[in-house]
This record gives sequence, structure tokens and C-alpha cells, in this order.
Amino acid sequence: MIKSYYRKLFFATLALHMYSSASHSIRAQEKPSTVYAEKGYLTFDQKPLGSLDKPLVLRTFVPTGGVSHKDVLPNHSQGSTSPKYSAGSGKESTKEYEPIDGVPATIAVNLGKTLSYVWDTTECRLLYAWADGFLDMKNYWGDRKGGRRKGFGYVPKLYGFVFYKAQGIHPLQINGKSIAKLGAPKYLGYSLGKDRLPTYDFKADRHIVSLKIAPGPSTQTLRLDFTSTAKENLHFTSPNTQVEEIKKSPGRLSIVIRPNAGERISSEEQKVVIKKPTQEIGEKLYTTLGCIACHSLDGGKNHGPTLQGVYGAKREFLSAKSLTVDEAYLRESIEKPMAKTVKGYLTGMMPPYQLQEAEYDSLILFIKSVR
Amino acid sequence: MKFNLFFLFTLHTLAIGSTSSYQIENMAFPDDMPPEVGGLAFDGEGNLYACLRRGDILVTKPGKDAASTKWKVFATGLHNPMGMELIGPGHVLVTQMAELTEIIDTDKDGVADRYNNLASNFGISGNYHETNSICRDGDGGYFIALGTASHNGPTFYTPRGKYSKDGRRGRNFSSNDLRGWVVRYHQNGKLTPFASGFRMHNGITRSPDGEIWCGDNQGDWRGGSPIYNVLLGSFNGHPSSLVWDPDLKGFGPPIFLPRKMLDDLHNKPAVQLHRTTMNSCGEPFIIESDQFGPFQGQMLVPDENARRITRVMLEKIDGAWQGASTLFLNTKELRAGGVRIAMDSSGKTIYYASTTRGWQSPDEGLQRITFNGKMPFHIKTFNLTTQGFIFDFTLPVADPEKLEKKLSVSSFCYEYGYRYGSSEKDKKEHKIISLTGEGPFEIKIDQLLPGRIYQIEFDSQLRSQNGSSMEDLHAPAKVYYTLNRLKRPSSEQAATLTQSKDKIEVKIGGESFATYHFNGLAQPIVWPIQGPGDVRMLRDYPLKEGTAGEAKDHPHHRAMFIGQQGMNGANFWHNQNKNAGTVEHLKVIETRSGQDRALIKTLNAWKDSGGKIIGADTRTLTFSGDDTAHILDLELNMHATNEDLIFEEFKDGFVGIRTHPDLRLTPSPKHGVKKVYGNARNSEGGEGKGIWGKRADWVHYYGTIEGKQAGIAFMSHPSNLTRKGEKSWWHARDYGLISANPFAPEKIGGDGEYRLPRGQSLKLRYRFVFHRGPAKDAKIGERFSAFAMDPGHPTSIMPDHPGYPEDYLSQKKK
Repeated sequence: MIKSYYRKLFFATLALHMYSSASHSIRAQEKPSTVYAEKGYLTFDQKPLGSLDKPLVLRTFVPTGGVSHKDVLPNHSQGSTSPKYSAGSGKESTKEYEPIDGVPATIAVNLGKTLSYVWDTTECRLLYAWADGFLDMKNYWGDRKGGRRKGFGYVPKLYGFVFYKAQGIHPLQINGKSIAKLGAPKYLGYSLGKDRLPTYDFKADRHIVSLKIAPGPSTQTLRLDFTSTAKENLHFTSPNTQVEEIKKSPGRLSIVIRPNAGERISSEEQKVVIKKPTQEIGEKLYTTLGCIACHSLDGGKNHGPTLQGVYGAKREFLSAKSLTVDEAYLRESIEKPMAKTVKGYLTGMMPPYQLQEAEYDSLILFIKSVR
Repeated sequence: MKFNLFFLFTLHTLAIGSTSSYQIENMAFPDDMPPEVGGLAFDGEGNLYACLRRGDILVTKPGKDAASTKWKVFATGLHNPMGMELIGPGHVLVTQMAELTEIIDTDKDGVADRYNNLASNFGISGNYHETNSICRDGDGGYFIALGTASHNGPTFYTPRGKYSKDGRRGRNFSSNDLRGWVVRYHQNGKLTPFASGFRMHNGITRSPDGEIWCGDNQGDWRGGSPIYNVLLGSFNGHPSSLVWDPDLKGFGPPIFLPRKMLDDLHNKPAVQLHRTTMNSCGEPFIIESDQFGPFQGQMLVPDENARRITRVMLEKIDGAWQGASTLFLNTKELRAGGVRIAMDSSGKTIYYASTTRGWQSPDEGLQRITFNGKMPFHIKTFNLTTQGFIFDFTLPVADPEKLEKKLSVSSFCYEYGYRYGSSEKDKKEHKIISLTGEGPFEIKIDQLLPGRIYQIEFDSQLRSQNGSSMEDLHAPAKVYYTLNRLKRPSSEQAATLTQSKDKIEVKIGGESFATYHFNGLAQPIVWPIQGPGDVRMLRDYPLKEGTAGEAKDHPHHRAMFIGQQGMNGANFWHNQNKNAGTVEHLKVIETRSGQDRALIKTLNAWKDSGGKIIGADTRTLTFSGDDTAHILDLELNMHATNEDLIFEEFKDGFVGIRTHPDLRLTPSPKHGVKKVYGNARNSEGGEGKGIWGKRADWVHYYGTIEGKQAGIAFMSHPSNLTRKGEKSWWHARDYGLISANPFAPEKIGGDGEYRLPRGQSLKLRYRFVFHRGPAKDAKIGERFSAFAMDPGHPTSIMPDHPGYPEDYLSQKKK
């Protein structure tokens, strides 16, 4: 709490300090020092960052950021729970899958520490903006060695300081009518200008609107430039959001949006040191490490053998002597999966896992419990 | 637009591997770049575009030295792009997760600056598995393959596109609009559904002859690793996507439909790649060039898991593609995770893209494989004959006279169901009857049955005359032939079909045989039916009024019809009654014609008087004939889709025909039938009116129709359901109604009520012989023996596999 208070204070001071300076002076402050800015392509770096000179555009799933489904995401459908399914028996259980938080068809843009924002192609709308971070793609891209996603979802984690969140129905009004009342908007595409910033084009009813999103005149502000081809009267209004009109003429609207949120989000999970291995921790690891993707619990076939009844079972290998599965073998299979390949499966499918001792033991406890 | 163009210099060391005939080289990438290649294409000017799954599109002009490959970033910011087509230099189409995107370098500075959304009107659930790929449609548009989601990942509270709770069930699933479909993006910008039933068709290809091809991943509802010829309106086996098929509305979650119903709807894969020889199929690639070794016109399919490429030899048999597969290259020098192949303009080199991120250890990048002119030794062609196969090698084989000793033939089936892959079921070793020729070789074997996969394995010591071994390609000398359809004997009695909005008309040898009416009636019927010599076999009334000599009794006896007086409370026999149900034609699943027979297969919904679906049927009508008889085979599969299907005991049912009035046994002056010319007998020696209510294999009505000797034999297959394995019970009347009824009341000697549990199917098979000439010449007994031996249409449903949904669903009731 205190940390976040000081953080806010810091940014507020900074904002005051820079209030009147033009955006190019922000540019001068930041060196294009990110890997992406230097190389110009995405690397194995799981936390890629662009820069003011080299914005990073990334189509991806993103978190909703807590924006309202009803108001902000009305053109998305409603997911539901569904019965858990055993691939081994073909039966459903009374347990259910819960959907997770995410928006599927967005464009995330990062300009280094200055600004990140998410624009959604389904709603044709800015969802949220943040500074001092971007997206941690680890969940999606995995690490270089393992090549698998980390965790159950494929939604990258947002990190940084969120200063703007979309509120209320679509804020753009065309000739006095909110886009929300014109039916689902249709995203048409975007152009990259000389500054490599995207300008989005979309259609609401018969109106064709373009929008460019850029850093505002000070930190934690956004500049939005709308144009419309038929020179309609454009107006921007959003609850609880301070909006300053810079320019307005038929078919043109330029505004600056001031912060309406303040939330520091870290992507770093606290590394919890496990002292005592338990079956429950093992079960959790089975999901979070991604074991679930290849090893079923119900006898179902997949890329890897099922874990059902594996402990104590006889195992035959491609080129090693057969053995009865014990703890030592399980440990070896997690730590050095290349050591032995079970007959009927492909070698090299499983990455090695470097875990805490107690994590290995928890996994083994869990595997032993799968009967 | 001015923008820094930068070249990415490669740091990888070059690894080269080779076979004697093909050189394999690694195209280098900067060491810090994840070379997860999802799409690959040439632009016509020798530039190779590669899209990487994290979002960049790279371009290079491949030179002689793969190690000094220079890549340039052409575009960026894409979400898992897995499909790419080049319009021209600097103009690319890409399928990424959320849309079909057109990418243009408008100012020609080498870097794209415009990204157009061409199509995004399909669902996206938020699940990682829903990747998309693309190919041209040959008409200015594109086909897009929309993969399904996996139960190994979640879906969002706020997905895009319509959401279906019924679709979000099972292992791989289609929770959102059109997942698991191939859709067509037309030149005019419209997107229309094209074919359903895919699990994860990672890659789609249009061959030079205009056919569309998809592979699919191994997995649930996939016995092997299938290659599909994608046809408009077809269902390709994986059920989840059927939630978006309007014809199947009202049947509940597709994964719990009776398996036999799904099997009947399934457009069978042209080729089933052997499950342990090939894991999951990448995008099929057709070798158009004659410079890439001896395999021009064949298909290559990379393996998404292992280090191998399969080669497929296709042929069209009885109107559909099927064929043989064998390994093309199987070497550790290849990378695993092959997904795409593109050929350069020399025609000698293919570029092979691989990516594994998400499913196995990293083994990704781009390799090129070049033919060096030295002929490899392997199977060159492999085709079906009426009694076996004809095949040839790329090089003359050593000791051809000893070849018979160096090969073995076996066959097996893959089972269809929710399970992840199938083991080899019903395995058979085959006897070789003969092996002749010196190249090509013709092999005849003891038995060829459709619905099976034939494995032909050659001795590993097999050599060409110049001493080459198949080991050079590390590809075992093994061929798998997917036999969906037999090669039909050519016949002068060619069968033709003419389909219009309401009916399909069948002719045999140019003569009218029958017309199947499927619209506008309470249920689909066959009328009229002609025997050889244009003899009218059935009563016209009530379908046509005014035919001389016809009685207007029983207006529900409509030519050839199917129904039961009581099914779940609805009457499907007396369609004039208050509680009458209807059988609604939903779709023509397939038709076949040409050669010696025509075939119609349809799906129908059984609805009660309130319009509620109580069940379904899939029926296959097969029309064949010779000079003396026209033969109609009916395979009727009744499916308990929504609830247990109860066939109540009534004498009026189940498959019936009403004969021409001349075949009546007795006249009916009060109905205007004054003179009749019919006799009746059954397989058990019964005659005349006495055959009513008796059990028999067949009944035969014969006599003189409009002055010509003719008759109708109606046969019930011995496999049909009856009580205690007895023969069929016949509701065969003197006034010309003949029906086979497995559900007649017990008190009149019938089998009584039958309950078909939800999720299960009941198969009934009948044959009708419409002959000319005297009864004794019609050889009905012999014809029945042939029918009894006929295995019928192949099935992919194997008996005795407890735990399938149909058992699960029926157990739930108890």
C-alpha cells in the first residue's frame, strides 16, 4: 500500500514536472536501449519492450484488466463453465472447468517505459494503458529450453503501472450518437506511420473512423487523434475520466486523456520456498508446469504416457532395461527425461525440469497418488 | 516511408546432412531469434517469406550458402501466424489467431506499413490451440482452416463470436463460431462455411488440379493421422464442430451423438497415415516439379512431432481419392515439428519449416532439401486393382523373380471414437495369390475389403539392380494403402443420378430405375420403381392419382416407405393420423454413380407430431442391376440421438412397399380392382395369403404386370434384429402391401417392442429384387445367398468396447 502510494506520488510529481513539455522531450529522456529496439525482431526475451523510436506492436491475448464486460466488451460473447471431461473414459464428471479472464483479439503496443496500451479489434476501443512495463509473455512463449507454455492459460501477464482503464460504453460519439448504439463496429486494419505508431481504422454503421494513439504531453497521459472520412461531428465522453479537447473540427477530434486508474502490477511471482513436500503441491505443479498437456491422469493416451497407476508398474523402454517404476525413476524422468524413453513414445518430447527438491518430491507424491 | 532497413546476419553454424540423393541444409537464423516458422512462401521473384509464431515475418533471397542467409524483417506484430500466401513482392496474406490479414508494403521500402483485416467473423475462444491456416480457392478467394480448442487449455469469459456450451465439451472442442471448420473467404469478401469435422487441420493446400487437402493432428476421433480431400458440405469426422451445422440443430452435444451416426456422416480420410509411422500431419505439399526426384505429382506431409516426412500416392477410385503412403525421408538430420513445405523456382529444392513450441522440446527452424540428381531407390507408384495392387519401384529391382518371397501383406482397421488414436483392429494376414511382372508388378491377394488399411511390407534386404537400398532414405520399405472404395468392374449398365431440389432420379444402363423423393412429404419415399424393360413395379396412388386399375385404399402406403405405427408415442405409419410423426430429410451425405451402381446416403430426423426430434436415421440406398433385375439395397441405421428410442409393438411397420395392383393376390371389385395376376411365396415354402405373419428370409410376389412376366423379391438380411435370432416377421398382404417388421406384436408371432438406448444405433438391411421374366428364372434363393454373404457397407465402429459414450449415456438412465 505504502509502496504504491509513493509510486503514485512519484508519478504525480513527474507528471507535474513535465506537464507543459511536448512529447519529444519525453523522447529525449529515453534511450532506445531495449533488445527489440536494437535488433528490430522478437527474440527469446519473454519480456519484450519497444521504445519511442521503435514501438513494439503485438497481437496477443491480454488480461481484461478488470474492464466491464457489459459496458466495455459488449461485442464479446459470454463463456460458461463446462463439465470436466475425462479423455480416458470419454465421460464427463460433475466438476466443471471455469473460464479464465482474457480478451482474445487485441493489439498491444509498447513504447518502452513511457507507454503501453491495449486496443481491442472486437470493440474497436482502447481498453487500458499503463507505464513502466508491458507484457510478460512467459505464460505464452515458455522459455527457450523448455519450449512449452508456463501455466494453464496462454494469457501474458501485464506488469507496470496501469493509469487508464476504459469505463462506460464506447466513448466516441458520432454526430451525437455513441458508437455503442450503432451496432458492432468492424475493425478494418491499421497503418504504420513514419513514427511506426499504428493508426486504426474501423467502421461503425456507415461511418469510417481512424484513430491514432500516442503518448500524451506528460507521463501517464494519452493523446488520441480521431478522424472520420465523412467529416462527422466527433465527441469523446467517458465517465470518471478527465478528457481535454485539443482540437475539434468536422471529422477531427484530438484529445488528451488523464489518468483514471492507478494500480501497480508485478509479473514476478513470489518465489515460495517449499519446506515440506505434499501431494497437494504436486497436484498444483502438475497443472502449472504444464505436465497436464502430455500426461493424463485417467489412462488417456497423449504425447507422453499416462500417470494413472504408473507407480509400481512395469516399464519398457526403447533402449534401456525395463524396470518397475519407483521414486528414483520418477525423479530421473522429471529431471532428465531424455535418459529413458518409454516404448511407443517419441524421444525428446519432454523438456527437463529444474525444480526445488521439495517440488520434485511433491510431484512424485502426487504421481504416486494417481491410481 | 523512410525506415532503417537492417539485415540480420546469421550466427548459426551450418549443419549439413545428406542422403545419396537428397542434401539437407540448415538455413541459419540469428542465435537470439526463435525460428518458430509457422508459414512459408515464395513471392515469384525468388524471395522467401517466413512467418514466425511470435509475430515477425522475415524475408530472404536464398543463396548458394545456407550459412550466410540474410534475413530482413518485413512485417511484425502478428499473433501466432500459421498460414501465409504471397500475392506478390511486399504483399502478403496471413492467417493469425484472430483474423485473415492482408499485409502491404505500400511505399515499397521493404517494410510493411498497412495491415488490413480481411476476415474476422469467426470465433476465438482464448484457447491456445485455435490456430488458422490458408490456401487459395482458385477463384480469387481463399480457404481458411480454423482449428479447435484443446481441453489442456482454458477458454475466456469473454470470447469473440457466438459461444456454444454444447460445443465446449470433450477433448478438443468447438466452443466458438466455426471452430473446426474449413471456411471460404470469397473474392467478394464474404466468408461462408465450407466443411466441418476437423480437429486441428494444421495446414491446407490446393493441388494443381483444384482439389483441397487438409491433414489433421492425431488425437480424439482420429484412428490414424488422416489426410482429407475437403469437399463442400462434408463432415470430416471430429464431431465438436457440428454444433455450428444448422442441419444438426436439436440433436444436443455432438460428441454424444451415436457413433454410428457420426461414422455414417464422416467423409472418410482419403489416406490414413499409419499412427506410429506418422504422428500429426503438417501441411500437405504437392510436388509439382519433375526435378525433385521421381515423385512428381505425389504429396509430401511433414510430421509435427518426429523427424520424418511422409509421401502419399493418391488415385481416384469409384469417384473419390484414396491411396498409399510410405515414408519419404526419415532421418535425424531433419528437424522435428515439420509444418510447412515450399518449393523454390528451380524445382529441385524444397524448404521445410518446423516449429514445436507448445508441444515438445525445441527443435525448430528452416531446412532445405535438394535433389542432387541421383535416383533414390523406393516405391514409385502404388495403385489398386480389382484383386490387389499394381506397383513399381524407382529403379529396376534386383532378382524380380524372387520378389514374392520378399514381401508380406496384412490389413487392419482403425476404430472411430472419442479415444486418442486407435490401435490396429481386426488384423488379418493375407495370402498372396500371385505376383507377376518385372516392373510394374501386379500382386493379387486373397481378399480386398473396403474400410481397411492394407500394409505391404518388403524385406529390408530388398535392393535395386544397382545395389541401392531404401535405407538410404532411412525409409522402411513399407506401404499402407487406405482402401475406402473398391475398384468397380466396368459395366455396360452404368448407373447415373440426377439430383434436383426435391428428388434424385436413378437410371441404370440408360433405363429408369427409381426416384428418391426427400422433400415435401411426411417422409422420404422411393417412387416410382421400374424393373428391367420399363416395367412399373409399385402402386402409383397416392403419389399420382388416376392410374388405371388402382385401389385407393391405405393412402399411407406410399410406394416404398419406412415407418412404425408407434415410436415414442408418435405414429410414423399412418401419416394422416393426429399423432403422426414426420421424417425430415436433413441432408444428402453423399451420392455415388458411374460404373455398375448408384448410391444415395442421407441423414433424416424423426420428429413427433409436435416437431420434437426423437431420433434420426442414416440410410444408404444402393441401386444396381443387370438384364434380368434391378436391385435396390437399403441399409438403414436408426439412431437414438436424444432419448431412448422405443419401437412399440404394432403390426404396421417397418420397411414397406406397395406393389403394382397386378401383383395382388386377390382382386377388390369394390375398389375397382377386378382382375389380378399375382402369386406370392416365401423362403420357407409358404405360398399365397398364408405367408402373412410368417417368418422368412424373403418373400416373393410374382406374376404378370401389364402383360409382362415380372416380380418383386423382398429380402431381410440375416444380421437384422429379431427375437432369438429367428428370421424376419412379414406383414405381407394379399392386396400388395409387403413389409418387414422387426417390431410386430408378440401375440401374432412378432418380436414385440424394442428399446434402443440413447446413444446407440440399430442397423437394418434389406434387398429388393425387381425382376422380369418368370419366377423360377429370377433365382431368388441364389440371390438371397449372395445377399447373406454381402458384408454391406464398411463400418469404423468396432463392437465390444465398453466405456464409449453410448454405453455411458444408456447406463445413466438405469
